[in-house]
Amino acid sequence: MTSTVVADVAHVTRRFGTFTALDDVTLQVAEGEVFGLLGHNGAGKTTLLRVLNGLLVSHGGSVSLLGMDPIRDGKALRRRTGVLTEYPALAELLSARENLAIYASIHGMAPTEIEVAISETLNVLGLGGREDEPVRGFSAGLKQRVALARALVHKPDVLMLDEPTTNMDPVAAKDVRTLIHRIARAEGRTVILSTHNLAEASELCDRVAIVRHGRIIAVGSPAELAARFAAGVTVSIEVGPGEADRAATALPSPMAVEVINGRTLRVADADQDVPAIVRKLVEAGHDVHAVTPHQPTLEDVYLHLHDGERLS
Amino acid sequence: MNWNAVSAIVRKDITTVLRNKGVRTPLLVAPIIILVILPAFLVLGGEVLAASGQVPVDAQGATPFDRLANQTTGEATGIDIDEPGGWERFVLEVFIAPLYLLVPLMVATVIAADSFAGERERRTLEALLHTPTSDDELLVAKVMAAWLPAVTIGVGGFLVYSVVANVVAWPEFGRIFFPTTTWVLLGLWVTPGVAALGLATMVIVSSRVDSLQAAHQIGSLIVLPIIVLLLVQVSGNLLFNPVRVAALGMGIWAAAAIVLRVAAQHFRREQLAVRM
Repeated sequence: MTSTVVADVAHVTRRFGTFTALDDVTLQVAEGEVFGLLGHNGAGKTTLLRVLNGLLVSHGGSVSLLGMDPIRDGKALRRRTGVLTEYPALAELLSARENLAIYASIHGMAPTEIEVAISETLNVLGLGGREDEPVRGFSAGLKQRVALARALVHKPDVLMLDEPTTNMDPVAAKDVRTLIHRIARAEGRTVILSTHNLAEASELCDRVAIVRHGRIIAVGSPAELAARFAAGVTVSIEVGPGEADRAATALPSPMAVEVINGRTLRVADADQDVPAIVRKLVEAGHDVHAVTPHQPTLEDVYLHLHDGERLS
Repeated sequence: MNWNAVSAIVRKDITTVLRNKGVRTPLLVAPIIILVILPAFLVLGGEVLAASGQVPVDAQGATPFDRLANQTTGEATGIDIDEPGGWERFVLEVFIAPLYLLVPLMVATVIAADSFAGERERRTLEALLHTPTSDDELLVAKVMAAWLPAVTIGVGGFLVYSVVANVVAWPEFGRIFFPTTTWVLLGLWVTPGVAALGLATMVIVSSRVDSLQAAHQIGSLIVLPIIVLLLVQVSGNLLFNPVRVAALGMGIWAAAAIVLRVAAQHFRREQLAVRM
């Protein structure tokens, strides 16, 4: 990693009683990077964020964020980080503006700065003129916007987002993802994103670490991981109605062919063979109506690493 | 100590309490009952009942109120129940005194339970833990957020009660007789200590339970010493006088300091984060 390292985690372990939540975790996050922690619920992602921000001590290894020790320099560190927790955790009887003002004060901003910062943040996040209403009446998506605004109001160097779209409907989730993308890219902020949403990680992250049972089992960009762990290009082929079973037998036996339905076949690792496959099918008397290549995705990598299976 | 951060958290918590009808209402209703309705009823209602002849009288012509007062009063308080105004002084100076201590105690415990266990239950505590505050600043902020309203309501209640006491006893005395030295000590010296003790206890309770309901249930046991104090007071065994109240206040402040010190050991970011 050539650029400045913002987060440096080396061989970190964290236990809760006999349960090991983080097991020998090592990773680095570069300045300006959007880094994803991808894993099931309970994989250890939130614990890692809490260790990074000095809420939990590590039971082994070393942690440095922004060049500081999160436990020893916790107060100074948290002045430069902003955290969106899994739940919005807002004071529900206060307005969005009041919520932001209180957290800006806690971060040591002067009253004059606070007004400007709140206006700027609300402009970016757009609460549709509802910033002076109690947040209790807001939808889940709007509350998450306020929580995101709260995490940003003091202009942190590192933004940590813990499951930012959990419990949200697809439209609100898409909305929040767009916001995160805009915030991360426009201001070049370092973002550490914890998620179990593969689409979210693919859309937002420069690199991801796949976390399982407290261990990092792979790190890289979505494309690198796809190339390293997933199968090659998969091709869906549409033949005539009811012909899929017969068409599958027309293809040479080493090919990994799966019949999806009466008229659709899926052939794995087929990126180099598409013309030959189509030719074989036509020679066998089948009409080929469509050929659709599928690039391997982060989802393929994730499923492969978690289930030990390669999608065919 | 970052007092800006402390005052911001205090502001947040107090504003939340003031806007929460479910918390605000009981905090106002209980003091009104104890410090306005009850003394008015006992002083004015007692006279009405006695005059109506509906109150049972014993062979010596004493009502149950007289017998209760006779057991309690005497040299220790300087109140003679048979003198004019004796009953009024018994009710207003002696009987209500321990009940009055329930006011700051109740306010402190209700707000403290909401502030500690309630925040955890509502999952709002984590956002605070991620702020640039030290553990001590968080504790001081949370304690102040419960202590200030408790003392305000306690001292405010004392002032309101002073007016009520003088008004209801006016027909008998025709002058301002309240507050007494004992009550000034209760209102300004003991009340803040009781509030501190109550909320320090709740910090410990809240750190050991998982729900607001459990915190309230265990926290309600805090009133037991006050009930004992009431019984001791009414039975005439340990009557409040200035010296005793000053000593009581000192004991309560000492206990509050000790409990608060223990509470501070329980209030660590790491421990709070582990329980989230």
